[in-house]
Amino acid sequence: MKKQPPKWADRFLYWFCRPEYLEEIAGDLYEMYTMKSVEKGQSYADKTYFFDVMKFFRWSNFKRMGTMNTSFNTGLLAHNFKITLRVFKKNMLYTGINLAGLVVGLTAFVFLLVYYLHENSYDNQFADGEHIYRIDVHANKDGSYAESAKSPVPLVATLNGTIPQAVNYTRALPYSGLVSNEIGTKYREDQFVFVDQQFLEMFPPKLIQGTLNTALDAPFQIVLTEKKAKQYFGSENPIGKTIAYESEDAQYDFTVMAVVEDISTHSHLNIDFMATFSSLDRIIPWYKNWFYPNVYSYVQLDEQANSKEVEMASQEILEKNGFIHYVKQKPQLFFQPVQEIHLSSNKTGEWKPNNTQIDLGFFLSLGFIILLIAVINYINLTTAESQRRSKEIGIKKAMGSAKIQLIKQFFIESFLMINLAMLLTVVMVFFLWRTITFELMGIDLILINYLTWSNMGMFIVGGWILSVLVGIYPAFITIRYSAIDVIKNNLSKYMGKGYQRKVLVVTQFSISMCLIIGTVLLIKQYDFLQNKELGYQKDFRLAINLSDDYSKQNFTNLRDQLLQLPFVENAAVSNTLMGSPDGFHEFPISISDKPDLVDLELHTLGVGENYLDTYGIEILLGRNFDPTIQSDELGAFIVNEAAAKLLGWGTNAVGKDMSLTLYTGKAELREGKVIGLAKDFHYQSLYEQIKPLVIYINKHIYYTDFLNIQLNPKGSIAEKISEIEKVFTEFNPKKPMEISFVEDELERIYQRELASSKIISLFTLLSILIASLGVFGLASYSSKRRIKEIGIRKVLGASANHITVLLTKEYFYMIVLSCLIAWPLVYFVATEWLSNFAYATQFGIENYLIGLLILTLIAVVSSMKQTIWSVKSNPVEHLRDE
Amino acid sequence: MKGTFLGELEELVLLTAAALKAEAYGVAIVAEIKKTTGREMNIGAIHTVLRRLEDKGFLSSVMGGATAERGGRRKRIYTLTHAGSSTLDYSYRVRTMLYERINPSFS
Repeated sequence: MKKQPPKWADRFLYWFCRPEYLEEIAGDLYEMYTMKSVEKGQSYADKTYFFDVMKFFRWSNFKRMGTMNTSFNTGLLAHNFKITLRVFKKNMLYTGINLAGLVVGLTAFVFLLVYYLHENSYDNQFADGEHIYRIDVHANKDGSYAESAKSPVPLVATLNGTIPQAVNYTRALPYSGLVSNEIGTKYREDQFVFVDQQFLEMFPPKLIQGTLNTALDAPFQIVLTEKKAKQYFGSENPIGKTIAYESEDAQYDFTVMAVVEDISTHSHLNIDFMATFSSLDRIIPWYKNWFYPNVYSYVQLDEQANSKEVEMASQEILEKNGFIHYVKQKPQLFFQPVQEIHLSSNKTGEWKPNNTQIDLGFFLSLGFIILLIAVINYINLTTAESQRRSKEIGIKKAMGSAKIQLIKQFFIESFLMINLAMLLTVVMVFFLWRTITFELMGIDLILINYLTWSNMGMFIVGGWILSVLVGIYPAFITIRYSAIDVIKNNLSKYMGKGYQRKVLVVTQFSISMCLIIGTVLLIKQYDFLQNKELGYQKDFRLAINLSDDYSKQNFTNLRDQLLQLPFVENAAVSNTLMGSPDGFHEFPISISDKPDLVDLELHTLGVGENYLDTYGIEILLGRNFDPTIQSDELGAFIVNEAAAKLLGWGTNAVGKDMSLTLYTGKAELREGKVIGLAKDFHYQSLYEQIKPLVIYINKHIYYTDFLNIQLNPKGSIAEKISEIEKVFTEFNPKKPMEISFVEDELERIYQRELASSKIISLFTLLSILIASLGVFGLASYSSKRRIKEIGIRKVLGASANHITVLLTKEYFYMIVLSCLIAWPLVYFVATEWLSNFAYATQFGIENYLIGLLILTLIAVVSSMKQTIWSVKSNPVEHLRDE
Repeated sequence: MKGTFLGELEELVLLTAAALKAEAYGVAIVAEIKKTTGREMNIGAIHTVLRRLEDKGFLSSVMGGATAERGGRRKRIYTLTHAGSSTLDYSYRVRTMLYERINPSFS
């Protein structure tokens, strides 16, 4: 007998090939097979047969669905629409749940996408933005690496004109002051920024009034943002009028040259006022020093320039021509592309708190995850629902409906559903825009800007693709039913064990589990940062900002008057607030027993005598500053444990010689002894490890910026504050009192954690909501599927408890499975995330169990209705067969 | 009219089918092209081209008799239609005319 070609390849051919072509193709293949086996032998022919089959595996040979008539049948389409509307109407609950899930999912997705796009658009509005770099200074100091967004003022002057590829330079120095329109109220303005004329060329704002070309070419001229022009001048034309700016005990008048649109919303810049840079020569004459970086320097390169080369050239210029003391610290210039600042730069002295790629990626994936959950839901509910419509499908099939027509029906349903959901999503987005973007995400966006044709088009096309994706699965499940089985009500053979649905639900559960535990983690870490033992007391501590020379010079009067008040327990000046990222200036330190320690710079804190008492900071060894000991004022230091360790003193720190060079308009050398060893306290945020700190007494006006007050906790805070204000007004009637709670200031540092945890909690809640809708759908499906089984069990005497356990058990297995999937994932991500913090919360097994508990509750509650229905229903109704 | 032009492969297949007369079907055409031009054709592609030529009206087909070497299956025999033969004539004329302009001694 003649050998036959491989059966499996033939089977494949029969599966895909159109029946009307099958005979000739199979014939040709067989003929070729015979020819090959004669010419080259049997085994060769067997081996190549499948490849020959594959040559016919092309679109034109594929089986077609249903009839070959693909003409557009409007009558049928109208019929499909009518049926769809009837289905929606007949089953309001199902439609409602389905729609709610989709709308919530889509809305969440849209908002997270808007957030993502916004964060990615930073600094794209500047025409030359690609070629502008901020000159950052990185330095490797005493084993710790420091990166600063700010640089010293003379840096740009040193570099200017030395490098041909650098087309333009500019500087920006924010210097807070009290601003008024000369007659009205004074407000403290922190974003009063001194910039060069070139700034307006490199970061061109949109002009509203006035001229920009010469706006900042002479001292004491100013450009206002629209918002501030309104605030200070109302509807008047501000051009040519004056703005009074009060800082460092003097008042200066600035002439308004132009009003511009706000340039800060999509930018790392944070600017309300732009004043001529050279005005600083009179306002703060000491600003041109190399001692501490206080200015943002920018450089614009020409289009062909390689930024790394220019960076290296600049470094050389700095080392050759820079200030000798500064160069000794070995600063490394780093050209930071401005368009990347918002998403990648996180240095000391950033203008605004920046985001990170990772966080942003996380938010975007959260959006996709929520959408995925909503889609899974839709699929689950629709397939469950299609069981009910099996009779409709059976009859249609019996009447000669082609498969393609049934599929069309399902696609039209999902298409209508998604379109309805999209419409409602637009409405939701419209109403929730302000609440979500501004209040929750903290970004000030105008909805109109996002209603572009391309965005709308993308939204609609995206929705349509989605409707095809969600329509496919239910459609293909349903058309498998054979008409006879359907009409005989013999569907159980198609239901199987419902594995597909279970897989979908386990996916949902796993995602929900991840999100729940992730939210717990965020909340815990935030809570931990809020409540961590800081080493000092922050409650009932206030700080008055001493903003002018009069207050600074005479602060002792104010302090003594405040101490008269019965509820003020302690008061002391300091040069910075607790938690300040850059207020603890680094100054050169030398110690006599280690002469080889050169170029050592440590964090310092200049205070009044009572400071440590005011904050309840513990002295471990030695003594505190003493106002009665004259020498303390110029020759006494208290170091923290970290400093004692770094200097190799350990517990023998007290009595050691130390000298400190600080800056008070000139370099000032202080020589003295260490008199005390303070317990480590978290003077910076908890993102930082505690670093070595030297505390000394300083009453120079540069260092008396804040008067710290400790209040008695008893009684009303508001009354105390109004009494303090009375004292202040008597002391300095010309100034408004500016006071802040230390606790609030600290909270501001963790603002970003708080904002993220708020956003994530909300969206987690939403996704859990959608997932529980899914469980509800699945419960209704599975209890119907097993209704005969339950009926028989009841007849045989099963109790209500027994039935409940039987139905709930299923979810329990799925939840356990999702734990197995989600827990390792969460563990990995959580460990990774917590390692970003210097001080992180313990995240133990109990938090994973919280996730399990919440998920179990959700599953039980959302399947409750169906379970109760199954338990209560009369078995006769379901077992009777006609 | 769009759709009545012949691609290079289409023309080759059409000519071969016409030349084979009553024996024009998939495998035979592949073998014939191999013999005359040395080109190794993909059998699947030939089927598609034949069907397309039939759609254009250049070929017509009938199912032929079953043979043993095809496992008892029939073959689809293609024959040249009138439209097909006039298209071939037309393309032959165009080519000859153009070729004579290059090389007048031809023919």
